[in-house]
Amino acid sequence: MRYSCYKFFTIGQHEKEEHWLNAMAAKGMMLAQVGGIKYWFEEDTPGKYIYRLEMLNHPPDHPESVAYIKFLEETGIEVIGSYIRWVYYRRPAEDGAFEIYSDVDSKIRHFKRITAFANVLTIILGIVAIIIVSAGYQVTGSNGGGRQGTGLADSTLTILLVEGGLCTLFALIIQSFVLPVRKSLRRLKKEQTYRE
Amino acid sequence: MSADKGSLALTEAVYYILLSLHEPMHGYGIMQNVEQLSGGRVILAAGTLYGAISTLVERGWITALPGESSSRKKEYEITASGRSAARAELERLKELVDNGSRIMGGRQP
Repeated sequence: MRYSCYKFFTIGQHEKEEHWLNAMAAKGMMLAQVGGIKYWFEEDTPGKYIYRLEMLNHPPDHPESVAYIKFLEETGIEVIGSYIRWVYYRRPAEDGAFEIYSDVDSKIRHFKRITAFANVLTIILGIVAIIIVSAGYQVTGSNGGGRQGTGLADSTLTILLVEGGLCTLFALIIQSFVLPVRKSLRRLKKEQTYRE
Repeated sequence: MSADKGSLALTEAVYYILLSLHEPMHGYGIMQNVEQLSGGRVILAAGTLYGAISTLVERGWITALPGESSSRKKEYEITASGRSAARAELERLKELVDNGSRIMGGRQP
């Protein structure tokens, strides 16, 4: 029997998502397919699998990602699916504790990948905001001269300013989502000074 | 190449990978071998191992053996410079153990 449900996790919440998937597995609901905010589960023996998530360096169909995933599969890891750059893995719990990373360095690299992804989104949104707002001022500037714009141009300017503001707001929200990741990153870097 | 010999410590994972690859092995074989060598203490996770292998190949300390087909698991082997890096690390570890034993007085029951 297959069940599906919707659940939303933001960027920076992958540990929470992983925790939720493992809690589901403990109840006998094994993740079988993913699609963004939709999750498909199949019933099986409770606690049969351990689930892990990873953000890859490249999209999952990139040759480097393909080679990497092949390597993981050779070690007994099963790939459930992927979403954007996130890949969902599982391994039977009877094979022992399952982690993707076993040292501080590689954990740091993974967290940095997540914050870098958030930074790219932030920069794109920032550029879009600047383009929108400057386009707004150009519309009013070319229509009736300077600040004395026509009613039409004024309303256009308002809309564009709101849009620009929303882009900036989204950019800030994305950064707030990855704040916990940055905090973990700082903790790991401190650990790195005395531990491998 | 000679500048980094002995001056910097290798990570535990790298040291054990270099030891393992004194005979040809594929990724999963390295994981099992390291776990066995360390009596179950060191468990290399696949993602960390992949990163370490890529770095070591790039560095020329290990090399991928030419495989017959892509369906076969890729095997790796240590190179001459890998051997000297592992040897230098062994000397460094000996120094650590010697000093530790001298100051803390050998094995405690």
